[in-house]
Amino acid sequence: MTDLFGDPDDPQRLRNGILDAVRHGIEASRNDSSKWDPLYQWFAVELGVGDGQRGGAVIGKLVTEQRQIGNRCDEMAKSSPEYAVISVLGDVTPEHVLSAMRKRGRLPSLKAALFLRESTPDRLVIFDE
Amino acid sequence: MSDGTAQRLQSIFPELVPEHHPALGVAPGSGVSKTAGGGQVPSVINVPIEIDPRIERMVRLAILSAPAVILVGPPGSGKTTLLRQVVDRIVADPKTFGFQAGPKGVEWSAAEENWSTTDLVGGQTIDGDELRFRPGRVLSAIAEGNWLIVDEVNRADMDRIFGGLLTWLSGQEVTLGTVSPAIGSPRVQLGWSTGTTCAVENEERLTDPGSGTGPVRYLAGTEWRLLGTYNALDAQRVFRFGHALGRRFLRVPIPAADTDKFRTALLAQDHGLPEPLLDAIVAIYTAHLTNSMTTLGPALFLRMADYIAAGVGTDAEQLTTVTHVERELLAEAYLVNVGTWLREMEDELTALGNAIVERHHALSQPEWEWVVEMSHVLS
Repeated sequence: MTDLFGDPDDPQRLRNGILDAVRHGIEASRNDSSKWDPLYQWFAVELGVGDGQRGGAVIGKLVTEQRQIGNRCDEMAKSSPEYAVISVLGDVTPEHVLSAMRKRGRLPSLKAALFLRESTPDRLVIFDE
Repeated sequence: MSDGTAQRLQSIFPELVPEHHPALGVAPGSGVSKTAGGGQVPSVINVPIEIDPRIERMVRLAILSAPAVILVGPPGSGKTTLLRQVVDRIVADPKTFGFQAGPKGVEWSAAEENWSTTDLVGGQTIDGDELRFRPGRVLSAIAEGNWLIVDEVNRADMDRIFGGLLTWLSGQEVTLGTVSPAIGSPRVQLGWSTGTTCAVENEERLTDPGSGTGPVRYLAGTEWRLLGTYNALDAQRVFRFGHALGRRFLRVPIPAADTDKFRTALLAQDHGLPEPLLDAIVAIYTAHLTNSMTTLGPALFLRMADYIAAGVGTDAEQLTTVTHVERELLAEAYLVNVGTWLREMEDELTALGNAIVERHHALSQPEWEWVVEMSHVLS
């Protein structure tokens, strides 16, 4: 469907929206507790997932150093997310993070994780086996 | 893919090939898992320290070029692990490493203070109601075509035990004794074969001395090896290698990993500890590295993280400082893993304490004094 505001299912529009939200999370201050709010709202509005609030079905994480990985995994486990959007920087790789998540085994409700290198989509992992 | 949201994400990012993985539920026996009491069970996975390729090459070439090789380094530096890895690879694929046949197998022994020549080499011992020659570890390994590896050789008085074998290690044949005290009993000799494989001549005379008069000859093949590890700072006991024996062994140094490699290995353990705690462990390791008399290998300090992880939660999102309790856990982890070795460093403790407390701020002065005081109980 196309209307004045564009096709709500247009993949490019959806793509721009989520990547804008990720960039917001990356560029915000480390101590800004609302830095991932645009991401949560995007999931709620565009995909009908969660209530657009922190601590719900979606979680955003930025990992800039390897030594943060353990803590970030533990933080994710606190809220039992269903979907994770994880941006990695520097020498951190999605595999590093995924390995730590797997090792901890404390995210049983996670259904999918989108990994990005900074704001470039890198891996889509679906936990359904 | 059954999840609609995941399908939507896939359509938004068509360039990504979706990967299907097992759910991230609690994985029994893997990594760090919470216990009912909130503590953590440390991983049993060994975190390898990256070995300098040049060190690994020295180990490999030393083993290829000499019959007797010892890896020398501080405790916890990975000597045994490295030796095991290299030897396992040689056994699996000897030709790649320059051997024609390699060993049939490997016999590992941990040296003990009360070892005698009879234990390691062989000698007469009481067999029922008579004295008979019994092969020790060296002769048994040669008979089987196996290499002999003695871990922590510093714990046995190798000068005394091996004194009679200096000539043999130089490539000559030596007589170890006779099969029995009886006049005319066959001699037991140890020499070298001209081929790669080991051989034993007249072995049956060990149990039947009357079956002939010729000697029982143990002949080590040119590819037979006696390997070992030597720890110069053993808390239990250190026997020094005399120069005469030392010359017969190639000695390869295995230094403690540098700070960067230690940090990498510590992070790879992935305990999820607060960053300041990890930094403090690295700082203590670094403080030990600054003086060769206090240098210890990384394994002891990596275990500190296991101890702390057992006592501290990983809810560390906002932690930028170490709490009092965590400082205590750090000191305890240091004490139980390294305290015994501190007793071997008494002359250096003041400088070490200054480095840990004042230069690196890893422990407070009271905590350092507590560690030193408690370490006396361990000696």
